[in-house]
Amino acid sequence: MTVLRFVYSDPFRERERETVRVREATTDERYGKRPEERSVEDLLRFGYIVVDKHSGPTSQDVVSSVRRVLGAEEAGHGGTLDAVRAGEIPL
Amino acid sequence: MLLGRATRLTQAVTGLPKEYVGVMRLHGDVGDEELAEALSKFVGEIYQTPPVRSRVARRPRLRTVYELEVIEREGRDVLFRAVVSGGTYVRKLCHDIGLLLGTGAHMRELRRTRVGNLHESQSHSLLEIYAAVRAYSEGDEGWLKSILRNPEELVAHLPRVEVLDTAVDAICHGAPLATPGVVSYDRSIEKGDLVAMFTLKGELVALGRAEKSALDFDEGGVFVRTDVVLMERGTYPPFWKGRFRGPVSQGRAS
Repeated sequence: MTVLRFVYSDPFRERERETVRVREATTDERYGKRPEERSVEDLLRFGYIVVDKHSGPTSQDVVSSVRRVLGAEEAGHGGTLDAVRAGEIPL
Repeated sequence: MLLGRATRLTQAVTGLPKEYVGVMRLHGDVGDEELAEALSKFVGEIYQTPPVRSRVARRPRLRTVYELEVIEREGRDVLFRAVVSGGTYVRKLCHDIGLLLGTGAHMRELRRTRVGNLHESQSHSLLEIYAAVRAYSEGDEGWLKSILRNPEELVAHLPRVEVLDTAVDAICHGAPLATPGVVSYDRSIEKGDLVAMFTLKGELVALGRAEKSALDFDEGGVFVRTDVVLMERGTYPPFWKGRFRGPVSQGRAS
């Protein structure tokens, strides 16, 4: 049987961005941090994980376990850091 | 799984296009040509009414089916691949294809293989994540580090605006972005578009709505209305404060 395929357009295609540069500017290295230089702690406060939920325990169980372990770790540092919040994209 | 402040990106991500692989069961016998004919009618822009059991308003909504492919077929079972816009119900799509064919059809199985630029191949099982977190709590961070990703990847599909260091903290406080604070912007920006604002270091500051299209940028004034702030206040110095003078430790000025 021949493969049947119908394509309208490719939404995943890397769109060619045309960027308008308004002015020349530099950034001060004393503040902020490039994303590629973020530490695990930084990523736990602002990051994401791609989860395969098709195998294993229910996501709720593991998210709570993860929160508990991470929360305990944060408290262990002795700082007044917020407990790690985790949310799920309801895909 | 969004962590920390990244949870605020939920809305921006649900609209991403998705790829699915599934099995559709036809309720009657259909020839290949007939099936092809029916499928071709569902590619492109379609209307869908959300099912009874859904959280959204049950109004017909415009959706896009970017691609439909029959991978393999065995009698009434059809293994297919579909690429659809966010919010498209594949189950409803199968049902409607069945209606068009006259035989009826339903979706037997479905697996999401791609969301935006995120592939199934990049995913980690919950058990692996838990194990990596355990290792981290015991002092070994390598595994967890390799699993964690930068949220900037989640907004790669949005038009970009780069801002000056001096504008960053104001945006973190919800201030709109005016043209003097803009370093660069996407030529494709239209009024009302959801855009992502970045620092010159590539950090995501906030999401906002374009107050004017790229063509009208030279008019001046407010360019982007800040909507969802992602960056923590104080990451960059509060240049917006009149009495601010000089560099600041930890970004907090008196």
